[in-house]
Amino acid sequence: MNYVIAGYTFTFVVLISYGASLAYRLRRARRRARGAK
Amino acid sequence: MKRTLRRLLGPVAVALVALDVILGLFVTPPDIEQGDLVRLVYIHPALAWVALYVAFAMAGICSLLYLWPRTRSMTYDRLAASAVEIGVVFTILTLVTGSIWGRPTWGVWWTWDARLTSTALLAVMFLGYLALRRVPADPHVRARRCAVAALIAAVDVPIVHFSVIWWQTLHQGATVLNSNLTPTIHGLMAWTLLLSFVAFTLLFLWMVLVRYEIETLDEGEEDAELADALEARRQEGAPA
Amino acid sequence: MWRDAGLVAGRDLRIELRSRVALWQILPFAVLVLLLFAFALGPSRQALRQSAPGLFWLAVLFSSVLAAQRSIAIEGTPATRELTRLLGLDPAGIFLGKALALFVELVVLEIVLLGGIVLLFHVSIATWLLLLATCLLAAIGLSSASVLYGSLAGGARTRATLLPVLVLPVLAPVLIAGTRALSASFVGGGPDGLRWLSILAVFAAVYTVLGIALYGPLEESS
Repeated sequence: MNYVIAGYTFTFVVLISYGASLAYRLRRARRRARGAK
Repeated sequence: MKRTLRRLLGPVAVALVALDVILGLFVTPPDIEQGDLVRLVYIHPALAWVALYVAFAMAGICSLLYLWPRTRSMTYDRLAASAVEIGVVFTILTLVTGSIWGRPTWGVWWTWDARLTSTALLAVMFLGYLALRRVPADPHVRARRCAVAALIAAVDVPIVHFSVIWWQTLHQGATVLNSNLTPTIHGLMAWTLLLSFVAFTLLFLWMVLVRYEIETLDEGEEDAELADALEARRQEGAPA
Repeated sequence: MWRDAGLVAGRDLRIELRSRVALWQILPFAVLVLLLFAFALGPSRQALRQSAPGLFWLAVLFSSVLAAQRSIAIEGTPATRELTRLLGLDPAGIFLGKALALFVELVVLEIVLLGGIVLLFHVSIATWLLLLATCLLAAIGLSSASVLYGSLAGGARTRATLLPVLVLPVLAPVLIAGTRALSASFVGGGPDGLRWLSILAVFAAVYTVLGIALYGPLEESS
């Protein structure tokens, strides 16, 4: 069961962190686009 | 209509993935043969499907569409790049979850079976594409280079596939490992497995759309910066 | 196209003959790689003989990346670009010519390295025909793919580090098939030489065709 927990944890830590980085980059890109206008 | 669909995609995808996790970890029963380890079947195959088929196909098709003169559009370039970037993440996840599953099942963290090896190679090819993308160049030049790179890598994949399969099965003294990790599956387990495929595919598509928007905005900003710089230069030259 | 190919191949080879870069830099590098492998794997005859086919192709692969860098660099010089434009050379012909020149260099490299593994790695060759076919087919595939990827990889500075990352994963089938086929041609080697030859042939055909088709569009946009 430890392996299962490790697998799920790794997967979702990566997905959530990556998702968060995407969200951050999106917000930054939108802010810059609005600024340039 | 399209906007609401796009807005819904994210929350729906996340909700389905969460449902998959709850079912997978808590509601579904352990397998007769694999015990609790079978719970990894609710994430690993779906991740592999997305990485190896959805992401890869999307990158390949978009690259083709970009190179074809009649359908050429920077949209496809940006979509392809987004698909590859998210694809890399999913490929690495596939490899790691596969490795974690393999350790208690086969006793080893890694084995050179055909699928694992091809997936590892695909991961490196994806990374190569991303490296190429970072090379500073005119967006159209970069788009063309990346599209070609994606396409010729895609053509190589079947060749790699056969090479690795024959390498594994024909190699003298190879241990015949059953790389098929999926047990016989039915009932709630089967439905959860199906759910996982749908959920992770939607998650992938949503992430691609987000990444695509980032790429579009960034490129638009580069154009705007360039236009500003040109305008400033022009002002300098204008009579006072 | 063929006439231009011949022109370009002749030019590339003549440049090599005069500058002798491949002779003095790439060939020694290849031999050095073999020596380093021998140091790494230990003096046991058995270990060396078994790993010889793989190590041979690794040495060839690494050296071919270097040779490809050289080949593409020739195109980048302003003088060459001027001439190419003035002469109106067919891009497909340029690709074929460069691939041909690289092919010749790789074959010379393979001959030297073969000598190396026969001498240093205690290898004896059983089927010469299979050996010949393997080396030639692999060289065709390697040269086509390397020239094609070389034109993808951008300017000289980025290309230096980017080309290996880009082209080596794609060359994996050549490594796998070449190793198995070579080992099949040795005394006491494995079976199925023809099957591996077929992979080398497919790879060579595919990348030559792709190169002819795509080299032009790539070069005109950069």
